[in-house]
Amino acid sequence: MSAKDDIELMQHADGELELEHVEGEAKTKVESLRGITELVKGHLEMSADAIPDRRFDAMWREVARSIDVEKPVGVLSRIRSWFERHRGHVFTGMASAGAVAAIAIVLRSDGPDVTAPTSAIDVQPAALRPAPVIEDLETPGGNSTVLNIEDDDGHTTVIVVTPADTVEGI
Amino acid sequence: MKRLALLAVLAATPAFADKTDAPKPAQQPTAPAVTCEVFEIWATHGKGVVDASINKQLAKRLGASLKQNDFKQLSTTSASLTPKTAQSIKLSKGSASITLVETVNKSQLRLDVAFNAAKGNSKQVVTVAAGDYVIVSVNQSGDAKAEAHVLAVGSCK
Repeated sequence: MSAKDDIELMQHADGELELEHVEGEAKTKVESLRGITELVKGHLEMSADAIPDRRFDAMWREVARSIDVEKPVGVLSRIRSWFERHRGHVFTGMASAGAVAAIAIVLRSDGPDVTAPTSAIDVQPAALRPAPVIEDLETPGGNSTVLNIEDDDGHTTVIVVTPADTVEGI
Repeated sequence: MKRLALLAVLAATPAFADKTDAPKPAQQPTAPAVTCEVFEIWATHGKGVVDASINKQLAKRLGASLKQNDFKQLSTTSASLTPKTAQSIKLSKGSASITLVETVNKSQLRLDVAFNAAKGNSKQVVTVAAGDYVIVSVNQSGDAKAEAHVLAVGSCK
């Protein structure tokens, strides 16, 4: 059989060409070709099944990226897409850092206790404050006058000292 | 992100370094400290000018209690008082010292105030509520228009 006839037989085996009177050696060739075709198809299908889904996902991402390359990409979009790609790493890192920091705080609590300074005295509202009391007053060489002024702001004790030889009002 | 975790580990490292068998240092007893504002003021008879640096509350009380009406701030100090310890107050004229004798009912102070004014002096023990003022005004002469050297202690907290 000529080479042209082999091509026609292959087309016939693929269902692309109708031939009549295929018999004998030609029929054997056609059946062999169909067998080889089935073998190749089966092998390719098994190879495709062997590829993990995540590789397909990665391939699809590449395809999508190549399609989107024409779109303008802003800084925020880039940050968002970076975070989407690396969020697993980010969360893992944050969780690790938090755990280590917690351990550090617990361990450091063994150090000397630090007491926050507390106020030694309470400032009460003006209306609740008692009037000042002068218990002792010395003004050597002078005279003293004591005033107690009360207003909305509280009490004020005023001690006015004047020289002893002074007569007020003169 | 591994770097972040590594940084946290490094930050925690001193915690391990500090952890020794040495006994804890004894905690220092913290004496209760009271902070009072001290104002040194020169009072004269004039047009009623009050330094802007003098707080309004004190200016109002000075105006209500003294014959003088011009008040110039010479110095101001925030004095940290510990019980039974005389605290010297640096003044531009004369000198002063304040001793916190004790606190009463956790809201009052018994203060021993010694004021050596430019001319004349005064020493008093007064119990005053936190937030209130004690003002000592020493007239510098017997003149009716005498100037006064004033020490105001208050706003303790």
